[in-house]
Amino acid sequence: MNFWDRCRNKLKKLNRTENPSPEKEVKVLEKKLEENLIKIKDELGDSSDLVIRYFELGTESPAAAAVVYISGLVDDKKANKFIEESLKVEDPLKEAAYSQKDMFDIVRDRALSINNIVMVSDWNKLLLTILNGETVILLDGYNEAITANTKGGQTREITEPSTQLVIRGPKVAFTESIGTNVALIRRYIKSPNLRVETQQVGSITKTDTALVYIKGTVNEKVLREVKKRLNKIEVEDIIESGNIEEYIQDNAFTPFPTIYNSERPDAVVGNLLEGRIAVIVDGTPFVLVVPALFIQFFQSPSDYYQNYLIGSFLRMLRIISYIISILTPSLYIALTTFHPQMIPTSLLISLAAQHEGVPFPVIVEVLIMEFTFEIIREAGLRMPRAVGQAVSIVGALVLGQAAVQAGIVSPTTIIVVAFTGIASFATPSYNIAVAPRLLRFLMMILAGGFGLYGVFVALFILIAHLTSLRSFGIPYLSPFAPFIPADFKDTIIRRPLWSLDSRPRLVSQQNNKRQARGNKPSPSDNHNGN
Amino acid sequence: MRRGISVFFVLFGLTILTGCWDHNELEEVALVMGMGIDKTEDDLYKVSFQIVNPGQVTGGQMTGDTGEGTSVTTYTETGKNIFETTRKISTQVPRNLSFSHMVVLVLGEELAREESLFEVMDFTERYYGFRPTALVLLARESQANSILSILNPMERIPAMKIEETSQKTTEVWGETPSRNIKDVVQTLSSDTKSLSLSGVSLVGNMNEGQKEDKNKEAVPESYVELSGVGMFKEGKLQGWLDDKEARGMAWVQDEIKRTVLTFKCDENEEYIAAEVRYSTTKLSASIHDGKPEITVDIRGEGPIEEAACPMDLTDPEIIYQLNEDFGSEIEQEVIQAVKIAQEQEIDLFGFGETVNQSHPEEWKSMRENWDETFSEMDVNVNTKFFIRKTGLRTKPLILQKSNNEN
Repeated sequence: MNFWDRCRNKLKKLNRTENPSPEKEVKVLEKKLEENLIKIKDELGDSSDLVIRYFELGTESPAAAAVVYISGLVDDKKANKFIEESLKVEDPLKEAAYSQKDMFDIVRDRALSINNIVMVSDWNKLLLTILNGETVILLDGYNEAITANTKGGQTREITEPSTQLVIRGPKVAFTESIGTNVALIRRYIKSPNLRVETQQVGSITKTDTALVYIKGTVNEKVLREVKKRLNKIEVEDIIESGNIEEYIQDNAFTPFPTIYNSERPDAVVGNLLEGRIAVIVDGTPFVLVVPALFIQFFQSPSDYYQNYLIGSFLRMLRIISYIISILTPSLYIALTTFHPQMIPTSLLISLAAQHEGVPFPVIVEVLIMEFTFEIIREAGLRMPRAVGQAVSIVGALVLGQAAVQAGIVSPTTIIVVAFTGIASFATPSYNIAVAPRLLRFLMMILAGGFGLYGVFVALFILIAHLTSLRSFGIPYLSPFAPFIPADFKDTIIRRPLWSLDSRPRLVSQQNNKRQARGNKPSPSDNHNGN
Repeated sequence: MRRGISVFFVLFGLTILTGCWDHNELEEVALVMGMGIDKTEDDLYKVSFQIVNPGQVTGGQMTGDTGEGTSVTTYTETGKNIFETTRKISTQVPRNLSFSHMVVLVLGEELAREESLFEVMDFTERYYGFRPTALVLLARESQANSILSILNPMERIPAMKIEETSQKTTEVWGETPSRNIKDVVQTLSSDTKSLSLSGVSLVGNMNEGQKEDKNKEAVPESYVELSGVGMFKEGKLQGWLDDKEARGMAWVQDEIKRTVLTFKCDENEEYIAAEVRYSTTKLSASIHDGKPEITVDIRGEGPIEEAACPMDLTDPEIIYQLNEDFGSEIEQEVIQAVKIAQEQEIDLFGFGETVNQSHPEEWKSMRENWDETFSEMDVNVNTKFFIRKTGLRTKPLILQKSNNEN
């Protein structure tokens, strides 16, 4: 298909979505089996993965029937065993019943030993159910079909998470299957208040998305907002939760994520319990969580599984390294070219010595190295694994070492760039860790042009921008701006679990209390002073 | 939209409201570590700049050529004023001079005697490039230029060597005070106190000291050392205080941090030494019959560090006696210093300040001819010293030996 054809198709599709009136009239199934089957074949373009199996029911006055499904989407075992075997049973005792009762009712009520049976008479719905991986039984003479949930086929096993690794904590990650993912959450929260609301998004992909929240804890205003925004999406395709994220976020023009995502069930569950809402999208292990606060991206699930002193220290470390990853190169440029008086004398002499013979100004030098680093990083990420190592060797040894020895960049620049790069890996959430990669270049150019003044103007604008951000109406920088001291207990530091007794105020506005008082462990009274 | 425009103007206003703003690549900057000011015979300023050659200083591997050249180069320029020379030097130096890391300012003795410091120090305070923390020293019996030309093996940058030496000796020996540009300007602008500056002198041959080769000798033939304190009157150098006199002045000014007191304890020229670890000085003024009187209370304490005389240091009586002796040792130094200052009619100690603070009314009348009053006033010195410990030994080795013999 060439480019023009694709454009034309797209236009057609657009037109179709603009005038949905022909789709609205409900087409009903025919009574004749033959006609139905021909129509199904016709509609699905006689795809090779479409399976249609004919057979006859009953022995005395056999009725024609057919099972329709798409191989690969259904669980073969289920499809075979439950549907086909059930239909084939030729029990003499049942024979009498067959003749008396309506064949359709018998099949529906007696013969099928599978759960989740739905009657479908709407033609469009029927096609959808087939495409959704369900098995359809059509009987001659009835304009209704029995659909059975035999969804299955090849899905990925539950594996260890590949992002947000922790030393201690559950080693379970979400998979691409929405059913598995919901189940994983249910296993953690055995409460009737856990609500799962499913809907399909995307006119072509019909992607299942599930809204998961805990009733009574969730902020109803945010919940309404999420539903509103999800319903507003009118697109053809949703392939990954990132697509949904882009359609429902508050502010489109920001490098900072206003929606949290995780492939760790424990992280999502923790957020649900704080009153947040999870959006699970079929086909991706990354589950969205809203509303998201800036500080949330620096929390790792393992903070809660280890000693709170260590957890707090690590969290501070992450925040500091985030600041480092934004500021270091620009501070280096500003100090060396504008404010050498702020550098200790012997360090300055050493810097000057290293810079002797380097042909570029510091700003150019740092920009070159930062850019190179970004290229290496991107290349290492996209390359096949076997080649990836080669990239890192070439990148680290050849570029780093050789650039210094050739006198193109000074060793300190390499140290600064490397340090910045490593600091940017210390953030537990990838999507907030990438923001500095972009901001860094802006800061560096400002630092090169205006020195510390430029750096601080950039910081000022950055903070103003962060303050202006909202995640589903919740201020992004809360609890710092607006200032809510009560919510500080789980931000820069993590206070001990027994003092985390209330939910974040803005996130969850009802049912704020989380635990009883007096959970702090202490030696038992019996031993006290006796 | 209007809001956007106003925000833009506010931000734009900020960009033009900033202060000093300059862009200089590292390789375009010449770091001046030390500056020397002398006087030529035709009454011009001769200013020397000690500039670092960064490649020669650091020990890193990747810094091009190392170790072959000298770590600093001293350039000299003459001019009618100091600022002129900092620009005229561009005929010799290919880079912009940066004074922000300057650690010493050396003034030639001739300049200090003939030219008033008021003229010299104006530039150092007015010009934005200087740090007020740079030390000011006097080149004793030599030119500032030669002091800055001597290379030094231990610290690659001679100016830093001078600065660090000065700081160190002020801390552990106490004879020569470290005064920086800020202190000097403050003292110069006060009318109740005279300025005193430490001297730095050249030992050995100057031409030898300029060569890098001489850093290969274990015993350097020429080097720079701190010696004595120059006394100023109205911004001009009047004379020098040396050794104990210099320390006497430091005692009065409460500038002793640590020092060593030595006291001859018997006729055989044996000594006992204590380190002063802590000391305070309090000045108080009183007026008797219209004449001012100053009382100097000094209190010091510290351990005995060396004892070469046969004294039983476990005996409290002996310790009390030693306290007295060390105290009078301090007293002697102070009296000497005060005597010299009074002879020269230079109030180095800020006695005028003390009188002014306690008796402001009387001060008004004394102010006019304070120098005369100062030279005649009575100064009472009370000193106390307390030995706090006797080190890791109790009895001196020599005492133990004579005991064993008995």
